[in-house]
Amino acid sequence: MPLKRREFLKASAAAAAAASIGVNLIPGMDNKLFADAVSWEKSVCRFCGTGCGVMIGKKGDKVVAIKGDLKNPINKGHICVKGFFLHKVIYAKTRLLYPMIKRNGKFERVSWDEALDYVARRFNEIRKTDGPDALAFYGSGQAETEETYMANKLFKGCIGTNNMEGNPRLCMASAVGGYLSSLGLDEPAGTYQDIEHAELFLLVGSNTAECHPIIFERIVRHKTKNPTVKILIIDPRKTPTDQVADIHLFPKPGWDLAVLHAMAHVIIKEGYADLDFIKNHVNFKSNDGKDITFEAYQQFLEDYTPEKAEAISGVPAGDIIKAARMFGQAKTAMSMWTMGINQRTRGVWANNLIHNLHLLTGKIGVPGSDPFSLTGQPNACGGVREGGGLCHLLPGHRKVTNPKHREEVAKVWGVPVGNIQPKPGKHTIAMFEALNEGKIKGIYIMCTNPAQSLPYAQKFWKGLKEQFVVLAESFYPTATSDFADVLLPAAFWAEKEGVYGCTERRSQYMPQVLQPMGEARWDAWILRDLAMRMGFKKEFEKYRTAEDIWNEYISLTKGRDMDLSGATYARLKKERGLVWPVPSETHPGTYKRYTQGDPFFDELPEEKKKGRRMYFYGKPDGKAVVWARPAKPPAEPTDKDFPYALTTGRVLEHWHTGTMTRAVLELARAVPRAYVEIHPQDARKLGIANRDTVVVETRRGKLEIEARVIDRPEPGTLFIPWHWKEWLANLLTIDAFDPGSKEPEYKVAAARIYKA
Amino acid sequence: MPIAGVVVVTLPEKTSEVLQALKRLSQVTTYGVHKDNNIIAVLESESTSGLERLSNRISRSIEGVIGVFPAYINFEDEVPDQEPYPPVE
Amino acid sequence: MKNHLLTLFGVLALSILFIGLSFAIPEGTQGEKHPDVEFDVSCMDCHAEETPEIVTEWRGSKHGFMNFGCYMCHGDGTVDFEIKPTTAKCAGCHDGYSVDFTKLNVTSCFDCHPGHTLQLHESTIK
Ligand code: SF4
Repeated sequence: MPLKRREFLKASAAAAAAASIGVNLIPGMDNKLFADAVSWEKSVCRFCGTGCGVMIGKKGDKVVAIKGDLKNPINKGHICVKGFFLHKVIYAKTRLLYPMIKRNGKFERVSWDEALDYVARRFNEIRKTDGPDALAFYGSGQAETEETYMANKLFKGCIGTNNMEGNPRLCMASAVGGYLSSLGLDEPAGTYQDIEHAELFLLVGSNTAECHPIIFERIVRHKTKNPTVKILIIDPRKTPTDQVADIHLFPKPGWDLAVLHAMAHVIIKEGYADLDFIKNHVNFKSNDGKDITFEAYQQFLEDYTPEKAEAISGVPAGDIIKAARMFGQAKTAMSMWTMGINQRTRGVWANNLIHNLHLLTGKIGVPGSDPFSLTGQPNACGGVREGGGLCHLLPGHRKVTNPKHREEVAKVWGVPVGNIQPKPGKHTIAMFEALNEGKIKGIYIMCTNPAQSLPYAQKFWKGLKEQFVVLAESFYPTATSDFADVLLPAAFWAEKEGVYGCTERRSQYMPQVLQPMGEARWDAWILRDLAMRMGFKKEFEKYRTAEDIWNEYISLTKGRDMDLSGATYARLKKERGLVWPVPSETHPGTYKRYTQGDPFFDELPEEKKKGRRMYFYGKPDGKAVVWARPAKPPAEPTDKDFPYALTTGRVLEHWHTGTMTRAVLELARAVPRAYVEIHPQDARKLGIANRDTVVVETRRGKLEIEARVIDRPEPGTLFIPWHWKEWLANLLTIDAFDPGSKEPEYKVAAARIYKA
Repeated sequence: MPIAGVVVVTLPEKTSEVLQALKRLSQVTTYGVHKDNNIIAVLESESTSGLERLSNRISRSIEGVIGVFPAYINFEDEVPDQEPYPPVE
Repeated sequence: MKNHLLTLFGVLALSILFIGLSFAIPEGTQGEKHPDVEFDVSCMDCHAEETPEIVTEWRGSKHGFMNFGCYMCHGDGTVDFEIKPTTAKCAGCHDGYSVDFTKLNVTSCFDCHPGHTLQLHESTIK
């Protein structure tokens, strides 16, 4: 008997025996959860910026399971704990189901017509009496590109105010500033594919293991296969990411710029600089934007010897030298960073200094080498950075200050170009300050929770309380819903279609597989219907499907650096996303920018490319910039009264303000409450024991919270995860912001801590 | 060569020992423990009588076995060209 | 020969009856209940004290390495609870491994990959 046949018979025999006791041995059948899911559809995870592909398993009209999408090149079937429970978020008990208007301090259920008419009337009143700039929009890196696009058109193009912001201002703005000033154009040159080619990873201000678990998983997998791969971490806190670290530098929070400079110093001194690359690809600039020579830059670095950097940052000079040598010696290197670098008063500069290391060593534009910023939200790159959802931007990486850009956009929007103001509107902090001052009288908040997520949050509650607040949300209650005058139930993930663009320039399509719960509606339609009621019928009635909106948007990206014109719905529905530029429907997408294979590079005239392997076409001469930025301290350094540096962040199991993950029993159970991490040495000194209730206090507020005595933060540093409104970390954080990117310094505040 | 799919029910505290013992028998392939003390196994022998002997040997000589309960038998060699018997419901 | 077969099927008929009677226990839960625990206590808070060996084992495993906690396989302990988790749970994150158990002589992922001790290559973990 042939073996195969025999194996089959044995299997049937075993299966039958098992079946007789009610156990199923056949895969897919043994599996209660998945046996039920009759159909699977590909989508994208709703949580972090990694952009994992997920499969939505549906039985009847219910989503019953989520699994990783095996065919997705980002995660190859793996997902993390948050993605795994996405289906449970859909059915959260805290879903907002009906439009509500607050009357006499209480929310009353109303019809959609009543709610929208009311908002339209109030907004028009404000617009008439106080002008368009008394209105504002505050969106989200979690909204779909289509949704942000509609809001952009309504506010910038029709109402005529550039007070149109989104929470990526609090998250990615410094990275944008860094890319623009260093490389000339926003967003990374490389992709996740570089991970498997990198010899060294520099993780700065990123707890990759918890905040981008699947990227971490790829790094670990790569290192496991190639034990010579090195991982170098710069972060004031030890995190689970440290399990794979080869060396970890612990700067005092906010003092790491000197460390990055000192690394550059050693790299040049010890001959690791790629002089050829520098000659042909790099300009040097001083902080005020003046061109300087390479020699002048080296002179500048003399101020940042490892010893001096040690005095500034607290990182031993020996470690800095070791780290610099590791970076220099590795043939390829990939840097990754997130909020530890971006959420700083010198966030743009910190970004510049990371780019410096890559430009000095030529570790860019080749497989395995890239300064690669990680995004926190699933569509911060797509919807807000590319879609132009900030007060100075227009769709397609355009700027409101550029007359040509305004014209191009106004034409497609079908609005008079004069509608679009040539001056940037109010950035997030200024916007909420204007709300406090009564200069902004009405705000539309979509898919985000600023009452909890703004730094020094309680400062901005005043404005939210006093002004007219419309909140479109999928969940209720949230910290922000307490302040809303009108609540509009928004369809959640899987109840709407649309596109998300993740960290690696990849745009991916998400299908609608469910009817929205209750009376919830898609945000883009809420905005469309509101716009029509406000008098913009002609401008908005043409949108009938999500695809209509997408097609109009991608037509605006044609010829732009982030060209998505070839990424039609038809293609996106089939493929696991496309990495822009995708200039035509037959273009496969672009792995590396500014170099061979990038359609814009390939099209350049030969004389420009001569002697160059990269051409940074966002810069006038195609050369990237190494910046000589001074090392500035944080806005609020520690002192005698507030001797601890407080830093905030995430845990693996929760996400942002917890409205989604805390609704999942498993995740709520995993980390049920907030805590403050304190080093055992500090705890001993203050007589604090593990699990004691302590008070953490800054100049802005105090918080009673449980102490976790653990050697994760360095002595002198405290850490609080920010997902709970009951233990609101942002009562303590500072609203000082980066003058360039306007991104606040969540990551450093001076604090004290004592037993309650 | 006939094949039988069986459930070996064991005394709850002896399950793992029985499993080990079964794994040592060359004519037996195990498919894991289910519902605490049920071992799914496939027995192979030259003939149906051999199957029966094997089954008896298991229930008598391995300590902790409560019983061997077949659920499926295939004796294709003896009844050629016939589809395997459908699993018993 | 017929006789032998008859005997076998006789036993078989009996066995179905027998099994039907003795295993009317709900699927998955094995009839077990997780003790009632206040919802502000995390899995780890308790289990580090109650089952320290398992927690230590888990910490050294790949799941512990990635910080994928108890709840991933065992549920939240109230609405969902499985002492012995099913393979279904694995497939959510490990869709990359579509395994045909019939070829492997195993019945669940856990036969070869015990969740608490999944090992990573040594050189990676410090
Ligand atoms: S890593 Fe991010 S995108 Fe991937 S499953 Fe987890 S939360 Fe979702």
